[in-house]
Amino acid sequence: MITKQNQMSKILYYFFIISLLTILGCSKDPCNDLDSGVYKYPEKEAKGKSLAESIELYRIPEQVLQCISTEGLILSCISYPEMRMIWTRNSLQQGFDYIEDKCNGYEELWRREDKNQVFIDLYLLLDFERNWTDFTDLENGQYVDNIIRHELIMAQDEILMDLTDNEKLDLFQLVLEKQKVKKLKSQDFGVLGMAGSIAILSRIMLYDQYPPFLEKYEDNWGMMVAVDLIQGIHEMGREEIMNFSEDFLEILKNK
Amino acid sequence: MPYKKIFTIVFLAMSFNIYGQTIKTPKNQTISVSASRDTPALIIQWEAQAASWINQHSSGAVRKASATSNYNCHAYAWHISDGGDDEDCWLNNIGTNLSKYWTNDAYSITSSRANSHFNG
Repeated sequence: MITKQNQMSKILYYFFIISLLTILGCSKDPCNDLDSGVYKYPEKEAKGKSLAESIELYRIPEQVLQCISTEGLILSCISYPEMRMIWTRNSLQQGFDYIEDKCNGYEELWRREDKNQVFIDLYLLLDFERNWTDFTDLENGQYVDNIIRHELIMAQDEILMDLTDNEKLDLFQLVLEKQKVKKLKSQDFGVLGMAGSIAILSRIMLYDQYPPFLEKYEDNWGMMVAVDLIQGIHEMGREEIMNFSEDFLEILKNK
Repeated sequence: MPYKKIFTIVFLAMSFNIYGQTIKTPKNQTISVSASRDTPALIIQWEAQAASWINQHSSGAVRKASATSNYNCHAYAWHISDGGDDEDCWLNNIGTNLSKYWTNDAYSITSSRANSHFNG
């Protein structure tokens, strides 16, 4: 009797193991289809479709959102085909708000606990000092556009209001360094090419209620527009923000 | 001009905030405009993106001309298409600057669609 029970248990055990292996073997990991970890949007299928239809096609499947890495998710948001429409509104912030509403990657991205550090790491990799003359105008324009996309996402409250003290210091320091390079290469970045980094610096100071900046911000309509809407600001305004940033960085370092 | 509604598929809707010049609405309200300082690289990139967008989607949008840093979409729609000067004419829709055109002026809001264009 005991032997029969044992035999039955063994049979059930092996049946369970074989079934499990079969299920695991047959089920496909949705993230196997990613391109170097980045979601491939079905742009061919969307060709000739209306914008509304394309946006539906470009929704990242829920299973992919669950398995994609944070880096892959960030790069998928940056490479969202309609991200180009950030330029079709009256300001970059309004452009981003429009795209955030269409691309379902952001909802998942804002939930990721490691998003800030991954963003900092990705931003660090962007080469601001490359030899711009080695490239065509179009290639340079695409490169600046890509930098702006990174900065535009990083400038959102979901990132800036979620920074730890260390992340805030790292990000602020890094963005200020990059902004200094942009200033030296202002002919390559232009006014709008500097708008994202200026907005990140300004918003961090604003959210920390840094008094000298706050006073200036509340008293200067142009600066308010540049910070709130992420629009370009004239050279004098940029200089003021960079000077405030230098002082604020020292405060962050001594915290 | 009784009224008109211009539907625009446009890139370059923004510029930066140095207001130094003004233009007038049909009923003589003053509108601030600026000169663009965008780089040729970004302008070429925007033009490529706009062309790609039109090619990708069925929208009825057509390309009107090459991209330029002389004026933007709002300036084209409200000023240049009615014969206004196109030099250094970037018109931002911030605050009440642009809405003067349809506030106690020659234009009013309508739900009907008139035509479409894009200017880079």
